Amino acid sequence: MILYKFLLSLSDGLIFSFFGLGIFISFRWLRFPDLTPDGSFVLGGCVYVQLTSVGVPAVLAILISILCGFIAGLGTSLLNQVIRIPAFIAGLLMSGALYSINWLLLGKPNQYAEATQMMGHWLSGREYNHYLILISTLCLASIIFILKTYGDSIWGLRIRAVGENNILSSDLRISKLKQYAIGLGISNGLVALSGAFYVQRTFSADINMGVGQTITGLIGMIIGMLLYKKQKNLTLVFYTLAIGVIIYKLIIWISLELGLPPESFKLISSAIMVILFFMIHKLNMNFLNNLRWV
Amino acid sequence: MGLKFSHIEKSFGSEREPDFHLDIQNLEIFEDEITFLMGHNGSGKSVLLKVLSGEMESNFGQISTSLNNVRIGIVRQDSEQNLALSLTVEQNLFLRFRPISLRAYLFPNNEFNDDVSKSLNDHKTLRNKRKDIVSDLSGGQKQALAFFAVNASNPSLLCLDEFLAATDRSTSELLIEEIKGLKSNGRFVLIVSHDIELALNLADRIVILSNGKLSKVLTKSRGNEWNSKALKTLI
Repeated sequence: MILYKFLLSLSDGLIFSFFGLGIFISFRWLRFPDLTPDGSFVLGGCVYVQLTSVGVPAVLAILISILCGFIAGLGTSLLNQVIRIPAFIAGLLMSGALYSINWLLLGKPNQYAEATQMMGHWLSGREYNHYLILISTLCLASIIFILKTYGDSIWGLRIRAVGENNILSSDLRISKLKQYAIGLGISNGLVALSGAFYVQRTFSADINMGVGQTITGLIGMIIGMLLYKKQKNLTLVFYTLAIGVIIYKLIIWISLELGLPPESFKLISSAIMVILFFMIHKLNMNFLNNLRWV
Repeated sequence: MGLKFSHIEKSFGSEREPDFHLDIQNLEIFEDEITFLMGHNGSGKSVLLKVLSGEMESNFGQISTSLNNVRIGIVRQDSEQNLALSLTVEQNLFLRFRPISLRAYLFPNNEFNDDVSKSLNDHKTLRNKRKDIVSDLSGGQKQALAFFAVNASNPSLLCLDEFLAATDRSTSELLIEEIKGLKSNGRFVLIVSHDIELALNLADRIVILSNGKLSKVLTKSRGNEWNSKALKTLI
């Protein structure tokens, strides 16, 4: 039983690794404190559930979820770069708008999904969970490979450079808006992918399932940064980040196993975040200083 | 042929009573010459550079130049502004090159390998540190890298803003040689500096700004010497 529960939180962690990767791109590459993920996570889930309920194949539904997340990120970047709404507020506005959009999409606050709508619908119980772990690991590995190639290509370098130093956009003669649009698009696309996987685990889409999830990605990112301080090799950066998210999910699981009430998991997340920041402060690690959102 | 900028205007503060008004009707920079831009603090040197680079918009009309497609590269006073600190030395250079094929976009590592060595030229330390992250470099190394990076984009006009402020002597000498090389390659060079000695050594023309206006242009006399009258206005 313990092993099964462990594997359950492992699959949870793997699914949220995509979320962590998305957060990494907006918070670390673009230095953009994006709050859109609270909404785009749910958007990914809702789009997946609604599409598969009318018979769209699961893989196609996942791809469309990613696209919807991309558009949400694009929207936030437009609010920020064109109308000049500060990053925090732009993200808040977008995730607020997405709350209604998701509700409209579902038609009600939550929607159960049939087993037939899932990718491994012929399996059940433990086998289904093993299947989810396998699929999300494969998906994670290929996405990390793509992101690493992209991040080290000229396109990725441009996003990273402009995110870090805005003046470079005029020096390099590249559009700042474009870098933010693509960066936040990819970021929220990954978050939506995470949402689409998440509903395959919970068998339902709920308009409230995204509240405060951004913190999950952030904790994973910070644990990843603590595990690999040099942050030089992108493949390692992404894998340590995924491990960070999984560690976080395991901590939550262990503390629930130890008898803490299930309602307290957000309290535990906050406590973990505080401990992480305390560690960073005590160990005198300055890697957070160059993140403008701190 | 010279590079001529006209109608460079920018003001700060209210429209009626601007706190500062930059108004340069004619600025000419010549090929085969190093032009120094000098003036007191607040005379408008940095604003002029920012307007030229496009970082700041000129608020009346357009800047017109005598050449089409003038590409201006600026090495800023704070060298960190020219660089992406979390990227490696070579990645900062990749960004400045012009990728022509899809391969170059996807794998700049393979495609631009030789260009990186060429851009870093004689700077041995940077060549050895090309895979290092820029934030780990020293101040002087960053300054040198900023120069090489901006220069790697092959700008037709290279502007240097107090660029030797943090470099050690050997780096300064190396960079000065580089600049002399640029001059003989027919590139336009504009240097903003407070260092009179450097200006007298390196400049062929000194443009003095005061209160946002072009107040004086000094050139060398026929014997390739600065005449004493010109020197007095400087000191």
